[in-house]
Amino acid sequence: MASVSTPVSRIAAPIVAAILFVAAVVLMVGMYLLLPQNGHYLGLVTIGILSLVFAAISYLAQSLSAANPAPQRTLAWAFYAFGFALLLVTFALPAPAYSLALVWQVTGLVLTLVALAGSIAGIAWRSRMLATEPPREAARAEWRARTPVSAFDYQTAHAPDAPATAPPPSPPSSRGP
Amino acid sequence: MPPPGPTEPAPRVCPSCHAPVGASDRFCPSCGGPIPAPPATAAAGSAPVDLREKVDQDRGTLKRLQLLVPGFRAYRQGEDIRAADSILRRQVADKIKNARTSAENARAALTQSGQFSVLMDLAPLISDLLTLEPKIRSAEQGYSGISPATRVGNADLDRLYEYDYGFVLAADQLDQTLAPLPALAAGANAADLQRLVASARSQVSQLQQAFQVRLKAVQGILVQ
Repeated sequence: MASVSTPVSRIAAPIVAAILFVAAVVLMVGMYLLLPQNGHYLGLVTIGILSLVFAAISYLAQSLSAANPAPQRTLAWAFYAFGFALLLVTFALPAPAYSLALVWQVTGLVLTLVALAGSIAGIAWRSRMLATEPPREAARAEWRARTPVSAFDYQTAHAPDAPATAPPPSPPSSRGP
Repeated sequence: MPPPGPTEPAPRVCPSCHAPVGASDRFCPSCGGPIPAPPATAAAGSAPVDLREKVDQDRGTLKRLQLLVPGFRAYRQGEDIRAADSILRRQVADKIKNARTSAENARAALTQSGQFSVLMDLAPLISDLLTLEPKIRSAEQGYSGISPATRVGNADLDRLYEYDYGFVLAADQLDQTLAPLPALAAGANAADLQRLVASARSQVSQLQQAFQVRLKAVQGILVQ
């Protein structure tokens, strides 16, 4: 195989994941502690939304790390599960009288379900796409293991009916002046 | 019908009369026409260079970000294969350009030595090389639109790269064929020169034939 450069070094995956985790915990705990008691319901909703935002950030932060950014991916799944679980439970259970009107609670539940369905569709799409890659990688590896073939060996180079692109060479004739 | 591909070597035939010729024949036993040199096996034993891998490894953060977006991943991968194929084709075109330089040097030598008759043979060769080089340099990249009749997927693009790789070896062989041309032109043997030019023209013709059907060949829709 010809020379191939080593991958460009990127930020270590555990560091990125740790930074995201600490930032999320500080924000969520701080928000819950700072809110007055009658704001805790909305605080839970906000933390759920924040968790989903961190899930998206952690997922995209995979691009910052080298070959296998498993920590970011794991963290993204954790935020994703936590965010949706929190939102579904918060909207589905009866809210305290001081917090949200029923109509907003139902609206929140519907929006959460729509977001969940959308994200599942995205996950399915990506999974289907990833499933097509191993056969392609195998085909590439097989090609790399083969001896290269010249285009003169292609069947397409010997099509009998293909027109010549220029007139045939003239017969040998006497020298010029 | 199986798609014509790069894996099966075709039997050698005369480019003029299409009669079968032996592996070591330099002239056709039927019509006496020159037979191009057999394909170079210079790269035999050495593994092919996979520029796709290099392009994949050198992806920046933005491209890696695009790979994570559902629905965008296949597009990004396709673009990267096209980029690798483009790098490859530019190198093939450069080799064709080198071959043309040899032919042009021979033309200058022939003019200086007063062998004007052979110029008539050389002119179509230079013309063919002039036509082939930009065709390879700016060839179709395998875009198939939103709702095409035949879709060009990433697997097709992979095969397109592998198909185009054969032209690197072929262009090297053409370059080798034409390398002695200026020296021959400086000599006095017009017959040898004409045989060499005829052989090179035949090779260029084969390359043109193979290149103009490249997309159809890799998609498996070429009817022959």
